[in-house]
Formats: sequence, structure tokens, C-alpha cells
Amino acid sequence: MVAAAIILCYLLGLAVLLTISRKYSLAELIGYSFLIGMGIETFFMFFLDIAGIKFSQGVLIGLNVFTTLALLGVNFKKLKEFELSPNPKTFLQIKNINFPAIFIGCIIVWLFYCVTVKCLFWPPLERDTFGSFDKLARVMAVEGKLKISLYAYGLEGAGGVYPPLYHAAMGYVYIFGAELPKIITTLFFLSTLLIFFDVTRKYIGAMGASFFTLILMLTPEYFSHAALALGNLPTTAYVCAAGLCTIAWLDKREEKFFWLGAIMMGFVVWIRSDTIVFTAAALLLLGINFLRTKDWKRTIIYGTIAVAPFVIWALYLKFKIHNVPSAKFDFGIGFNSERWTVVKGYADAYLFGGNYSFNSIGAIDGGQLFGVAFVLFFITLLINVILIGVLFYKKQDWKKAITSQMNILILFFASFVSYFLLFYFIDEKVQASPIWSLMYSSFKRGLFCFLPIVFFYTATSYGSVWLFEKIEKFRTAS
Amino acid sequence: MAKQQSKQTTTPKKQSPPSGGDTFTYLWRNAAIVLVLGILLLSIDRMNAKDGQLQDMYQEFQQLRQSGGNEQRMEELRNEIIAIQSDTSYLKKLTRGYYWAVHDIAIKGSENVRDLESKAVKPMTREDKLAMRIGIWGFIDYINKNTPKDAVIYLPEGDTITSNTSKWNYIYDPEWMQYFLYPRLCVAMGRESDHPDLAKRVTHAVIIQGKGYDKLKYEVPLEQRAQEAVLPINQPPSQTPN
Repeated sequence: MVAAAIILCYLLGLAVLLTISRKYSLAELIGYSFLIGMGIETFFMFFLDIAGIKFSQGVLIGLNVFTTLALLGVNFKKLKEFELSPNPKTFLQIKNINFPAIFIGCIIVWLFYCVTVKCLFWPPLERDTFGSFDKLARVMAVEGKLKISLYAYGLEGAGGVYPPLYHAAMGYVYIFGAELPKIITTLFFLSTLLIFFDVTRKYIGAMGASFFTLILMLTPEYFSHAALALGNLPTTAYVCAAGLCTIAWLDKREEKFFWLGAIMMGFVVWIRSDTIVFTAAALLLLGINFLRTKDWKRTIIYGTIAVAPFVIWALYLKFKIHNVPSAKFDFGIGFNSERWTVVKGYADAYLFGGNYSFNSIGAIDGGQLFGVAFVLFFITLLINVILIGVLFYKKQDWKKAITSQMNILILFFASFVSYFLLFYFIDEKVQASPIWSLMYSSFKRGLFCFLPIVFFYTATSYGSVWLFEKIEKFRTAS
Repeated sequence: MAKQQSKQTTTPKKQSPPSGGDTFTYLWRNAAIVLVLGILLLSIDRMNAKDGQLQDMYQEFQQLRQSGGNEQRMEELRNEIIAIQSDTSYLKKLTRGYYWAVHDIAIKGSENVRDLESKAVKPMTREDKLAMRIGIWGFIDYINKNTPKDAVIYLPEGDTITSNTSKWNYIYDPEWMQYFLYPRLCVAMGRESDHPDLAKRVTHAVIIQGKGYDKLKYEVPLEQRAQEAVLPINQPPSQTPN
């Protein structure tokens, strides 16, 4: 029954994808179908809760089948135009096989298999998942509603105010009889890798894309979460899809990326509220795009889809849960050198691979946790700045060099600065945790969302594009 | 700008594959790239192999020290540990996490699972697995079996006895314990103000290390006081649990 539930979820996502466009790669179909399908499943559960209808297998199957058939029915005539791009048949010719990409792909598949064996064997064991996510999911499946009885006693845990996508996704598989919910972690991880690979492939080809997908996947701390039941890895899946699709739309103006970017950005704030920093950064990009194109229609559509779930959840918290986490921040602290030292100390260590500890507690080794991820990003940025300087000196086309990757840089810096300030101004008393502890755990895990962005920047930089073009020329003997 | 971007970032033009006779060239060139990639990845892995063994070495050293074993081996281990720890190059610092991810998380993690599955006499259930990883699973199971489903349970205080040792996991944390006790409800001693409604409805108290008897509304003779138990608040149970 769990397998049937997951297939239904994929089919639902697929029906939405086919409404948006008729041309996809296999990686896109698998990657986006799950993210969209699961996002919609949780919206079903949310609206059933609002309507006071207890969710059950029958109700969810009915909604799934009806919606999928309705979408396919509306779109019926255009379904004939569907095509896979690239067509798998082309790979039947030996000279169309990219062996280095397949070699890296095999390593990815093997690592994915190993971590999945571990993930699917162990039940959720993390303190946060006992305290919040898995508890919410299990009770949700028993009681058939989002606002479970534990809210009445304040026993829902810190994740009770989080938007429901992650724990409702686990609740969804529990409703269909799963003993353990961690298939969800595995499928979110799979979607992230496929989407990152596919969007990057459009810029630097399959070999470069698979290489960067491998490094993204193996970012040590991120990879360890592929066997856990915490919300940060699924959140990364949505941020990856939303961010990269938005950038791809701005760069390539391909219609499907506009809709995928907007829908995924909506799900970004349907899984965590603090990810609003990415929505804000994306809206900044859309604002800049609006100034250039004056396309108010798309700007409004994107903005509405991206922000609506955030508003809906805020209203639900206020009127149904009666819990508004408004005083989460203390903006009155102004510049507090002690707070600044701690927040900056941890952030520097994570970004530049250094060590940091707060009064000999909460020691971290940024290099061990994030490997080359952020260091490579800053090295690439530095090289690009030097390159621009050289072009400027030689009076060549330096403006083009500045604007070429500006969108992804804006997305990174606007969201990262907001994320950093979010932690700087956080109210320790409301969080019931000292700032060092929040930086040691929450901030670190939240950085996962930036990984696809920084690797995408590095992968699509001048140096990387030049290198992989050279290798590709050599490989194809042209 | 969009035009410029798309120019800069477009997919490298798909190179037309070489004609029929060049298949061999195509294959050896691909093989050469695969070989270089393999060597590159293997080099990074080997570079950090010793760091990966650090924990095992340290454990062996500690065991030898405690047992007063082979002095020569201890000296070797000491020198090796010092040599590994003194190598603090930036490249190593940035790459050693990958060794941990591949070998500890992926390989050892999956091997451990296969090992457990092969040794198990019957397919392992969720409860079996929780019992392996949650130290107080047995006690939690005992609480569940000895309280009705509508019980409201007093948990022990998060004092030095409970929170400074991993033995008791997070038994003092109601949000953590609630996961295991549902549909029963729980409230921690000393944190009644967090859950005032529940504090008024408490029906049972968890006793650990002989503490918590003061919460009962009846006297339990000293000689009958179990170190660990769950007892009704208002009246003694018909049979005192062990």
C-alpha cells in the first residue's frame, strides 16, 4: 500500500508537470514529480483539516485519482506532443554514450544505494524527530488531522509551528501503512540530485554536471542527513529546485522553468518558514527582472504563488493553532559585539573551513562538515573578480562578465545575509537555547539549502565552463 | 543582460561524434578521462585514509594502556597518532570529511545493516531496532505496559541524575517522551507551569533511582521502594511493579 501511495504521489506530480510543458528529460520527470506530488498531497491534507474531514487512505486516494485524471483530461489533446529530451533511444549508439558521466553516475548510484540501505533500516532516532517531526507524523496518521490533540497540551514540540510539508509527508506514508517513514528522506534526496544534475547539465553538459552532483551529494554533513529523518534535507530539495529553476528561467527564458520556479518557491515556504529568505531573494531577482522587462503579469503570478503558502500557514497558526511565533527576534539588541563574535565566528568556520568554539564548548570544524563547498565558491568568485579586473584593464567586455552570473550571486548573497541576520537577531529566551547552540546545530543544518546554489555558481562559472568544454572536445575527438 | 547570460551559460555545443572508423578513438579518449577521474578520486580517498583510521588507532591505544599491553605497539601507535594530528594542511582539512562520508556513513553504515540483518533470527521490527538504539527502551516499554492509555504521567526532573548521563536518554523531556508514550500524556516534575492543565490531571509518576516517591499521595514502605518504577499517584497499585 505504501508503494501505491508513492506511485500516486508521483503520478499526481507528473500530471502537473505535463500541464506545464510536454518536453522533459527523464531526470526532470522523476525529480520534479515527487516534489510537486508530495507538496500537493500535503495541501490536500491541510485543506481536509480545514474542512474538518478526517484524512484516511480512501479520501486521499480519491483526491489523488480525481486530481490526476482531471489534470490529464484537461490536457488530453496536448499529451500526444510529449517527448523525452534527450531521447533515451539516442544512447543506444555507442558514440552517444558519455562514459565519464556514466562512470561518475555509477559512483553516485553506489553511494546513494549504501546510504539508502542505512536510511531505510533504522527508524527515526534523532532528538528533533522524536520531539517533533516523527511524533507529529505518527499522531497525525492516527488522528487523521493536522491539528493533532497534542497541540492542546503544548506537547507538539518545536516543529509544531513549522509549515506541514515535511511531517505531513511522513504522515502520508504512515496513513498508507508504512512502519518507518524514511523512504521520504530517500526520495527527497533523489529529487535533489536529479534536479541539480539536470539544470546544471543544461549549462555545462552531462560530465561536468555529474561531477558537481557527486561533490554536492558527498558534502559530508549533508550526506549524513541522507540517512536521518530531519527536515533540512527535504528543505534543500525544494530550495534547490526553486532556486535553480528561477535562475534557469531568467537565463534561458524557457516557459516551464518559470512555472516550476514559482511552484517550488511556494513549497519552499510550505516546508519551513525561515526559508522565506530564499523567497525574498527570488522576489528581488524578479523585481530586477521587472525593471528590465516591465512584465508585471509574470512578476505578480510568481510573487503570489511563492508567497501565498507562507500567508496561508501564518493564518492557520493564528486562527487554528492559536500560536503566533511573533516575538522570535530581538531587534533591540542593535550591535552587540559578543553576539556578533559568536555568530560571525561560527559562520566563518562553516564558510571557510575553519575551527570555532564558544568558550571551549560547541566546537566545530567547518572543513570536516562542508568540505570544499563554500571554499570553492569563494575561490571561484575571487577568480571571477580578478578576471573582470583583467578585462577592465584590457578594455574588453567586462560588463558582460559582471552580469553573466549576477542572478545566482544575488540569490546567494541576498538570502545568506538575511539568513545570517535572522540568527543574529534571534531571541535566545524565546528559543530556549543559547546562541552558540543555535549556531552549532540549526544554523549549520540550514546551510544545506545554500549548497546547490554555491555548487551551481561554481559549475557554471567561466573557468568551469571553459574546462569542461576542453574536456568535452577531447572526449569526442572533435 | 538575459541575452548575455544565455550566451555565456549555454550548454557546450554537442560535438558531433566521430565517424564510424573513429569509434576506437572515441572509446580510448573516454577511457582516458575515466582513468584520470578514477585516479583523482582515489588519490583524495587515499590522502585521508590514515585520518579515517585515527579513531580505531586511538581506541587500540586506550585498550593497550588500560591492559598494560605491548609497549612497542603503544609507542608505534602514539607516533602514528601524533604524525596524523600534526598534519593540518588546508587541503586535508577540506577533504577528510569526504573520507568520513564515504567510508563511515555509506560503507560502514550499510555493512552494519547487512551484518545485523544476517545475524537476526527473524525480520527485525521497528521496536527491535529502537531497543538497540534507545537505552531506556525497555523502561519505556514497561511504562506503557503498566499504565492505561488515558494516563497522564509525571516524568522525573531534569536534574544531574537524569541529564548528565546518557543512560536515561531524555526521560526528563516531555516533548521527547511523548513520542513513545502517546496516547498517554506526560509532564515533567519541575516544569508543571509549562503544561498546567496536565499537571492537574497527573495519574502516574515515574520513579528513577529511587526518586519521585514524594509525588505519591500514599506512603510506600522503604523496603518496598523499587529503584525504577511507574506508580499511580492516588492509590497504591494492587501489585507493586519491580
